[in-house]
Amino acid sequence: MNGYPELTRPAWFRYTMAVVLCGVALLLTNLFWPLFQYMPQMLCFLAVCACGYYWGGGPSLLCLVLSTIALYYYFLLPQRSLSVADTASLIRLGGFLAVGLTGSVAFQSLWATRRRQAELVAQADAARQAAERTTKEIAELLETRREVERNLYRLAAIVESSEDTIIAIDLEGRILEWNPGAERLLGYRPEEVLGKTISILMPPEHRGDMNVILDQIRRGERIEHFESVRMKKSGERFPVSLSVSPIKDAAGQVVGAAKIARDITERKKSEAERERLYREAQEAARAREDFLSMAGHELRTPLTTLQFQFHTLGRRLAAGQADKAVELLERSRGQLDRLVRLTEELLDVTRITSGRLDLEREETDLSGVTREAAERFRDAAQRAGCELRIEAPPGVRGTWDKSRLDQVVTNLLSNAVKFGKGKPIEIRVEPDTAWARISVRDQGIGMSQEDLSKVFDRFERAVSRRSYGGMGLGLWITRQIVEAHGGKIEVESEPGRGSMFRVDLPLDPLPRGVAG
Amino acid sequence: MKVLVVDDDYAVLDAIKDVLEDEGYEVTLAANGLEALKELRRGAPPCLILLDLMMPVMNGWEFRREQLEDTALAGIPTILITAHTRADENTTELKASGFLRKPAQPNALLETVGRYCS
Repeated sequence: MNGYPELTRPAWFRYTMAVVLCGVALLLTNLFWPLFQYMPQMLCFLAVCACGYYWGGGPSLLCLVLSTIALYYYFLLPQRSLSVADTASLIRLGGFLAVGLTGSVAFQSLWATRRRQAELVAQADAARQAAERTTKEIAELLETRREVERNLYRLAAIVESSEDTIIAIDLEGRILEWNPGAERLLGYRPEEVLGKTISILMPPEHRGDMNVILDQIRRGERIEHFESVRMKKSGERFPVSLSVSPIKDAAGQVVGAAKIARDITERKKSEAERERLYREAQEAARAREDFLSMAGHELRTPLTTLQFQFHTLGRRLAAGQADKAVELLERSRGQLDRLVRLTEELLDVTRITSGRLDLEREETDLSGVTREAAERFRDAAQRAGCELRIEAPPGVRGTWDKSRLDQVVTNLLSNAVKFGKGKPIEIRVEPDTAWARISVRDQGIGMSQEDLSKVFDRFERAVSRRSYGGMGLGLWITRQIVEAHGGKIEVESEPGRGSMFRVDLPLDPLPRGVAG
Repeated sequence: MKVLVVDDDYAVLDAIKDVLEDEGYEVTLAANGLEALKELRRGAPPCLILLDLMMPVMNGWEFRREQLEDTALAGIPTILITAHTRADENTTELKASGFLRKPAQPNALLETVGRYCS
């Protein structure tokens, strides 16, 4: 409606204004009557024109009719009367009416043109605004599309470069997408698997996974860290952790699933390794606890004996029985020796585990060492009912640590007496050109094959803890000493038939790497 | 008043024997549960058995089972004399009269024996 604000005026306003303007024209005509007496319709004519121009043909016509009636009534002679005026006045009034009518029609036409023009302008305006809106919408759509494309490229780049295996499937389990991560892990090229069902990746015993996963996806549920086993193109199986999310279309319907699979072989390995270390640590802690308990037990026994012996010793001395006291002191010395041996064994564990088992090699007679050790065991063997049979030819000499060798023979004899069930024990020393062998055979309780495998391990024993004491260190220390000399120790045994321990020692130190 | 001492360690057996004999008790020795059962079934019952637990041939647990199954022997008071760390649990488990933990004091030994053999 630009330029024609009056077109927007309501009809009642325009017609009221026509009445007012008509009134104003008549009033002015009356006020300045001397001026307008020869042409009283002049101001009314201007009012009709003004009404037509500003408010249209209707108000102009109304103004014309009112003006004509008022002029006829007020100003034509005879004034203030509806009786017929003189002819000249009637002609003037008729002229006024005719010109006014023509003007009103002309103004009506002008207004119609104006209205049409305004409508066209409005239409053009609306069209322009619609075009502007459309242009803006198109720009927005283009921007949205560019954003979508940017996101798609970004997502595609992420999928392409991901180390993880990313696979898209439809609701029938057919493979729709296959990223390079999938190709790397599973060995199939995209063209080999696209369109095939995902079950080709599942070992037969895990084929049931597909229905479990698809059922959950159809319900729109996400699957997090589902652990299973998958199969590569090569047939190799590996543990996998799967996360599967439903893919929905624009209407929110589930149309497929996106799977992210991760090879968890390393994780499983490290879990197994952690578990193994944990078990070993627990086992070691248990063994240490058992060992401390056994060590305490072993130390308490000679201490008990000493306590009782000192009690008796006091009474013997008080009674003046010196000879009996001396005999008792000798026996007490035996218990002290036992305590020293136990302490030495404990220290040997520390020396060996810290690699400080130093040998003091010297020219040593193996037969001599064996006979001396056997002599020390004569009493114990006798009480256990075991006869000691020694076969040790003189002159079996080598470069060995004499005290450590004595420890080896002592440990073997101690075991033979302990487990010998009162039967004879054979001790044999055999010379060879470069080696010497000492063997100790008993006919006692023997050991099973399973026990044999761990008899030389630390803190291990092949017998029930309830039946036999000892710290479980003797044979372990023995093996360490023998191996430190470059020798080897072996055992043959059978339950109920006895055991034979065989130690082979090189006469001279071996070059490094030949031992064992 | 006879006391039966059962232990696989001869030094312990001899030491206890000396202490008890000095106080006028008669002492018999056994190196394991089997020997102890033989000894019990052979002569007059002792007033007390001093029993070690960890022994070869027949250990203390096996001996107690045999003893308790034999009505003639089941009533003989038995005191465990052991270096075992769970001597109190063993006493309950084996339905023993009490325990002396190694290394035991001679006075504690005499006091215990005196309680059953006076």
